[in-house]
Amino acid sequence: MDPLQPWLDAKEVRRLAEGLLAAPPEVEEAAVDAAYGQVFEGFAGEGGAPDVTKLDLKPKDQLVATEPIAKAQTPVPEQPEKPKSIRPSPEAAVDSPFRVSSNQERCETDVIAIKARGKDDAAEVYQLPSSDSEVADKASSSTAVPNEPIRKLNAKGPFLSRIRQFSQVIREDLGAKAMFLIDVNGQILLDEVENPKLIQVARTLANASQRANRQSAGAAAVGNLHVKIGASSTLEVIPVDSRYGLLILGVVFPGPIGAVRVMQVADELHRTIEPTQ
Amino acid sequence: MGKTTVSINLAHAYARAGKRTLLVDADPQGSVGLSLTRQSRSLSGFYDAIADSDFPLEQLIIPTRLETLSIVPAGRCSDYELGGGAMGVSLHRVRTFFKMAEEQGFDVCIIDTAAGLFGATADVLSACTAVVVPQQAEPLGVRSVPKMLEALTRMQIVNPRLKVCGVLMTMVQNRLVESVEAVQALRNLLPEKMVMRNVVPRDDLFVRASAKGLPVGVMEEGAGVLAVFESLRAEIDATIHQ
Repeated sequence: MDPLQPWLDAKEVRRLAEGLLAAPPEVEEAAVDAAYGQVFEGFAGEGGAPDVTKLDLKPKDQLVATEPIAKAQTPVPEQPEKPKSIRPSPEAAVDSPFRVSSNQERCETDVIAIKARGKDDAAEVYQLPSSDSEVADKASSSTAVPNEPIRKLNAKGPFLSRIRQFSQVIREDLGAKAMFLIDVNGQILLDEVENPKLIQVARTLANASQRANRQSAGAAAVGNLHVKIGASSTLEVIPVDSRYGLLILGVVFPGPIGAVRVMQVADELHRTIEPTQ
Repeated sequence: MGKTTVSINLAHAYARAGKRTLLVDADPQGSVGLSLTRQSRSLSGFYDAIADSDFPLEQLIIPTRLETLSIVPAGRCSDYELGGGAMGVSLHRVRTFFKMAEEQGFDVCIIDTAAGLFGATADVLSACTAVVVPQQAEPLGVRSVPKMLEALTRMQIVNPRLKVCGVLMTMVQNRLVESVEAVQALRNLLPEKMVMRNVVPRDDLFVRASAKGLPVGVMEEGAGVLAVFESLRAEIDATIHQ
């Protein structure tokens, strides 16, 4: 009697194994260390406290990966809180990585009227969605052709539905892990990350950039704003002018995507927000 | 016979091949240290370096009679030992530790980790180049392999460059049908490269070597086992450099 086959899903196990054997992504040195130098390994904590702060990418029932994260170089004013311990739950890993938050549901009916989440209950554990193995593959393939245009979305339907389609495209084409979209006041339009601190980082970066007049002409003039939040996670902050005012897109990628990609993402987001233009 | 025995004998094989090898005990139970040094519990080690990033690596390294082989014991203090530790908490210091080892001129750093994929083990996997998964060749053991693959898949998200050398079947008993079937079932199930070509046989020599605090390869009758680990070393090198 085969001691294995009756006990497991052979097809799924083989798929896992083949994924593990796949060649690691060839990440360009410049892409990894852009703006941080060779020695940068993530943000250290302070003093004798545990030396990394962790952020929370929901959904919380998803697993795994933690990384040294950012207590911030400049943009994050808060002190890191004591990290929460997490334990992997393999069963959760097969679920869909993204959940629609209650806020997002409300977005369907009133895009702008959603209030910002509470600010003081920021979880400190940074969890990646389980489908990131797929995301990593996509990311590696996307880095192979760095300047190939991303898909034209031509999104249809209500605002939030269009934004979700946009999210799907940047995940599939560019290897994004998760994204959020907020307005200039910090009100959340869509949030797959559910980490108030990351959202605050994005706001701070975007507002500072605005004040410096580095991107006053909307999508065509976006800057390349990103902050490394872990060894293989970078938050790209892409402000886009729209009929709703300045909207701020935050996307977590495995690494910086470069100015050309940022422009493409901003253009596509702009088209998604205002499909008639 | 599992992780620790494989780590010790693999490190010995690398050292015999002329590679400056550092064998690090990252198992809070300190199995490597207990196997090879009598006073390991009183020595500073890996967990001291994790607790204090200023702890100089030179003070942790124990030389062995084989010039190219050195050991870092587990050490005395361990938050992981007390509380399990949250994955990622000390990742930066683990990376710093590896970097220091490289700066010390070591060619190979073999880490013997604790069972499970959390705490220090997760941090090590988040920072290292490659992983070998020793697995006892018995039916119940091989059934846990899929869970291990799931966990390693998640680790590859954190460390995309982590090379999985494969599952190394250990304690293989060719005279026991169930043991042979377990190996064969795993080979049938997984891609060829996921189950390592070399296997480590069950051998009383491992017990006797452990009693003397030696790698099996230095035992008088250890030539056969020595050849196994030499071949394993070559297989791992080929996988890493392919």
